[in-house]
Amino acid sequence: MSSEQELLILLQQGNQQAFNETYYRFREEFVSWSGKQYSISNEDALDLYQACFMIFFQNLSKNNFEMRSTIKTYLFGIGKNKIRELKRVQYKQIKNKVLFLSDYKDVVIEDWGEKEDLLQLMERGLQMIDEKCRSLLTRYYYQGQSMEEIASDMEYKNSATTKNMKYKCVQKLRKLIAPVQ
Amino acid sequence: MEFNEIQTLIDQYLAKTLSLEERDRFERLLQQDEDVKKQYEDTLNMVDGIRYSESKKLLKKLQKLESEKPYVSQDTPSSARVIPLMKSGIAAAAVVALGILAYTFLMPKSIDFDSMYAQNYSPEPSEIVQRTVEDQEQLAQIKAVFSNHDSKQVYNAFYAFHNKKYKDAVNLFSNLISKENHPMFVFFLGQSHMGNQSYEAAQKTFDQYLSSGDVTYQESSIWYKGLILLKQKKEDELKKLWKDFVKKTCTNCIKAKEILNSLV
Repeated sequence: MSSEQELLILLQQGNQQAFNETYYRFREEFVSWSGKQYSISNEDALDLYQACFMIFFQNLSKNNFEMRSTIKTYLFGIGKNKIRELKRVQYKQIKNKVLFLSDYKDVVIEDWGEKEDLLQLMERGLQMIDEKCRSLLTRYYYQGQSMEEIASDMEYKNSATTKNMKYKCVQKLRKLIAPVQ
Repeated sequence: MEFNEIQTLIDQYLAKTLSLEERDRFERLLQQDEDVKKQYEDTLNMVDGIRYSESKKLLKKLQKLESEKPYVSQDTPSSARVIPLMKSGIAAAAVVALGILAYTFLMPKSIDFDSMYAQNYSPEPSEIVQRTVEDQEQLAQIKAVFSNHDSKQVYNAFYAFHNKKYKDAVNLFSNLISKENHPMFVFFLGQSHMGNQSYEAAQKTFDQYLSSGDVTYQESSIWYKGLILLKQKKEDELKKLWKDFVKKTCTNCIKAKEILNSLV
């Protein structure tokens, strides 16, 4: 197993040290490359690097994700796509946009604009439900874990129990935000 | 249809695990049944809410990493890089191995107060200076709020704070307070001390703010005071301070509750 594969495993396990190390490892080279190749300023290049790293990490956190290149190739690949995209739009606006990035080839920056109030409400609701529910919903809807995997990770009796628990959590969240909506 | 039954269909539809026939049937149901439609829309909003929340957390984490490192120069030679790139697999493997060893043997198994502090601390921005350039409009606004002060001096203090020059900010806010004990100056002096890692001075300043009777930054001051106690590993004092705070519904109050729960 190569060192990079080990690093990827640590990243997927949520290891903070591996996260920091990976972030810093390619940061300066990325900034230098985007400046020299595409005349992007330091400040914008750092924003761009953060956006690329977010895509990389979010994809890596997904259950069915398979890394088919080195981290550097992946990050710089996203970088190239984003630079092309950002050349078309004003990339200075990147800080005010949320990144809903599901796929390496389908890199989009979605403006949360009108929906932001609703999303903030959801976020508050998520903060108010208990940690177990929050974790369960995040694992299922964000990380794409199966009921069996969640049951095993969160020590539920079986997938049926986990599924029931998920229904309860969804209802809990709906009740919390329903009076406000 | 029961809630659970509908939710199962929605989840299967979103995961694209329904057959073509089942999918058509579900899409017809979506158009015909208001309850199903509502539950479907709520689920989509919930999924977006989770993504939104996770994206914000990740972005915050990256911004924190960025703020801890010096500015990158595009002309910096590779030999002078802040984090040298790994030149060989052996070096990379060694770093990973050392990381694992350090994590396994050196990290304390008990509560990591420093790490909890680092994860939760971020300065509260001022509304006075949000941009990094000085302009007449901002100075005019400052003049309207702080008529007893030289607008430029007030601007400089908030500017220093905004740019994380906490040592300068401490001096500038202290000067302003010597002329007028304005609660906003006191709160930002407390934050500046905290940014400067002068935790005892920060605590005293937040106490001074809390005894002023002003409520604008009351919750923030309690939050920051608690974080300092966390940093100082004063668990009992922290529990006492946040006893009522965690019963409130502010964002920091919820975070405080999580921190206290993790200390149990």
